[in-house]
Amino acid sequence: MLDRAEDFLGGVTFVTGPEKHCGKTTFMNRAAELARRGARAAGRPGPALLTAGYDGESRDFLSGARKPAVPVCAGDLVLTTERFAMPCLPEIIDVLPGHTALGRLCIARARRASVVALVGPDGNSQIAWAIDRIVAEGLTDTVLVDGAINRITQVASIGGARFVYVLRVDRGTLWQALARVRRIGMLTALPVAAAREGSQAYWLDDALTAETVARLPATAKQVVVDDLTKVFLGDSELMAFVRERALLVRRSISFGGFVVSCRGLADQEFVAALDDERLAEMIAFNPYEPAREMVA
Amino acid sequence: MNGEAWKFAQLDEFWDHYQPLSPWGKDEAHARTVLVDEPVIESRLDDIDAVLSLIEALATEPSALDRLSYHLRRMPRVPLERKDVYEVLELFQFKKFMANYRGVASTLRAYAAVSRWLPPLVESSPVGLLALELDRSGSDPETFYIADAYDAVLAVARAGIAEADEAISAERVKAEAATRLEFGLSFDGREFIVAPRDVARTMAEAGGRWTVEPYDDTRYIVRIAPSVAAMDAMADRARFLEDERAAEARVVARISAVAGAAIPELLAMVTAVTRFDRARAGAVMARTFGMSRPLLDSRVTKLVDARFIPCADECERLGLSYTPLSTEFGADAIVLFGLLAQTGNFVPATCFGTRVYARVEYVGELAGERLSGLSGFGLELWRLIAARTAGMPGGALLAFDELARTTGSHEAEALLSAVVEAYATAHGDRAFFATHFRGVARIPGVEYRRMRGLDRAAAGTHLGHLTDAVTDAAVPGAGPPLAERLAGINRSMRYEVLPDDGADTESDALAIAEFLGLEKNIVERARYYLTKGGTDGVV
Repeated sequence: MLDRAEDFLGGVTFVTGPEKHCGKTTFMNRAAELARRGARAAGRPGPALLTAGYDGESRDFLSGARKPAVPVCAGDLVLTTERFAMPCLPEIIDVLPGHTALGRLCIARARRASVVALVGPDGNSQIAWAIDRIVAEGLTDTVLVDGAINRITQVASIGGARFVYVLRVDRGTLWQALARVRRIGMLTALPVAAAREGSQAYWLDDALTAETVARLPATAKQVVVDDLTKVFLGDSELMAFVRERALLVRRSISFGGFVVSCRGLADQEFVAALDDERLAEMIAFNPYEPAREMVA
Repeated sequence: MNGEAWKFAQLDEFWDHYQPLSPWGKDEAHARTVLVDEPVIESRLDDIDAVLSLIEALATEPSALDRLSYHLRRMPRVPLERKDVYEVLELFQFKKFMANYRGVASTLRAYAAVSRWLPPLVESSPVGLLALELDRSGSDPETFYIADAYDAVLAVARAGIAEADEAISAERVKAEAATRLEFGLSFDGREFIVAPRDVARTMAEAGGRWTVEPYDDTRYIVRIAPSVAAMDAMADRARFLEDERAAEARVVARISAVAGAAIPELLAMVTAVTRFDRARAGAVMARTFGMSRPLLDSRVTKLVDARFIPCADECERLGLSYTPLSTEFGADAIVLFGLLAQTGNFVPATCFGTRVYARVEYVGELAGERLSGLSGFGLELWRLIAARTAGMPGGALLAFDELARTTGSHEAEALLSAVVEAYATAHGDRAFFATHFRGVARIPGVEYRRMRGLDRAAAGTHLGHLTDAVTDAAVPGAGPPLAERLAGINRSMRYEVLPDDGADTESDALAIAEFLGLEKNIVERARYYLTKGGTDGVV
């Protein structure tokens, strides 16, 4: 799972995770390599590599600290600034409206293999604009986006888009990681509400927070939120909520699975602690830990 | 003050239909500039006429219209100031702009009236030279990169980089193969791998071909260390990269000089594109809504078959028929038509005669509006005072909507009469008042109109059986539901403007009360008091 070109080719995949340095960019690099090879074999254009937002990793660049580098090959598309694209001899295809603190952003096609730094726009709408520009104009149909979980809302409206959830686990964070997996597993399985008109459900236009829950009428036994990114209840509050009411979403966001990198504990220990067969089937482990082949 | 008039006329929703496609056309639409210079407005109306003729001419070739929209939509905003050095992104924007400019200009070539606005690029002109420079690179007319062709050093440097990359890659392939062969571990293109500790320790001891660091207590991170040949290639690459950077900077500086010289022409091209885009948007809107060119030299304000779109839309939503206005006035309609005409656009009427005003003003309270410390009445008066003191050559078109409605009726009628009188005796301004007060003074020189309102015969047909049911039942709230009764009344409302001689003393309010089922004797007594206390002054 999540280790073949077909897992990424022909779709928009949002590589997301709970925090910075959880391995999003590293996983995206592996996914890009797989997609690139698959595209080459199938005579399709190379992948487009984007980052959403302007997270801690970008700020590290301003302070001079190293940002996870993104290797690209000739034919790949990237979204970044002119300066950061220069190593790959970029052919500029479009310029995004507006500016970021690091400069104006462009969609560029790499003309040679190199290592670049991706820079993303500040707003969700611009990432959607860039993806639409890339896909709708047939530049490529394979897009990988490195971004935090709260940046996927816009992508939900893009046909065929989905997200994967990357997390790093050690013994100290095991229970927190298990809770996150269960939470995402639950949220991605929320049923989609039927049409609003004539619905008996309570349609929440805001996010689901402790405050909005307190304002819900007692008679609201079914509550509909926009999508899973609008749920801001803590784990225990969320569990209490779904015990009393049915939670539905207006639109689902496709989910590709978990990528779990265990450190200080074996993959099997994580599965055993999770104790959930359905969720275990959705997990791919560290893609940088290849199985050892027989040595002659 | 134009902003308030704009809101009052409910022009925002309608303005959404005005859709220029280029960045500069969009800027203009967003600015909502109300023009006060008649020749400028006439010139814009001429442009719309020209594009309407173009659209007619292209009726058999719809793909040409699509092409025009396509190219306008793809035009990027270009820098229009002279710089010593432009960014590569800006050079790209010049190229993309010129590619799409050529697309528009070539599509229009056969249509002289419009094509002269966008002349073709002349090769020997500064902008022609810029196009030649930029067209030397890119895999299509809209993309740009610094191609080898720009500088002899570039080809050499890039060949050197490619050769170094090949050497580095070959060394990597060899090292990956050795790793697989010796330890059964496949990098498979990965920058690093996580390997079992015992294997990694063995690799660490194998002569520096791999670098190893702990991952956890059972695994290590392993990277392939570059070979001597790979390091030599990396050093070569770094040297060639420096040559490439220097050559690229020379190229950018040279093309920037050409671009800088072309700025005046580019500015003219942007102006031409904006002109065409603006006229295209106006023409499309005019065709969509069957709009006509306003007559700006009319001594009187004149409307024929005018459709006040917000009201027509509201009627449609309510299932009511909308009657176009002819030769009559409605304050919000007049403001809408006046503003539209003074943006240089056509108007939704068979005929609209007006003149160009220096100001288009609204005096009244806007929906949901309250300023801190001022009541609605205070706000109205504040605007009235501002309008009275803002005199400037060219006069103003003013709309007063329900002035003083929040104060006592006698005081309101007195104040309204005085304001009407002030504008009736003034020169230059043209004022429209809408009010429900019937006691406003009849002043010479003022034209009085009224809305037709409730068509009682139609309402009788729609509601007669309902009112009978209510009154017969003699039970408050009995009979058909309120929504059904209100719908019947709404269907019978007529949004038509009629002459008002002040003689009509019939009241829609009392008729509605009757149709809703108020006791007949109360309605009759109300009619008696209305007639007894009525005045002749109806506006």
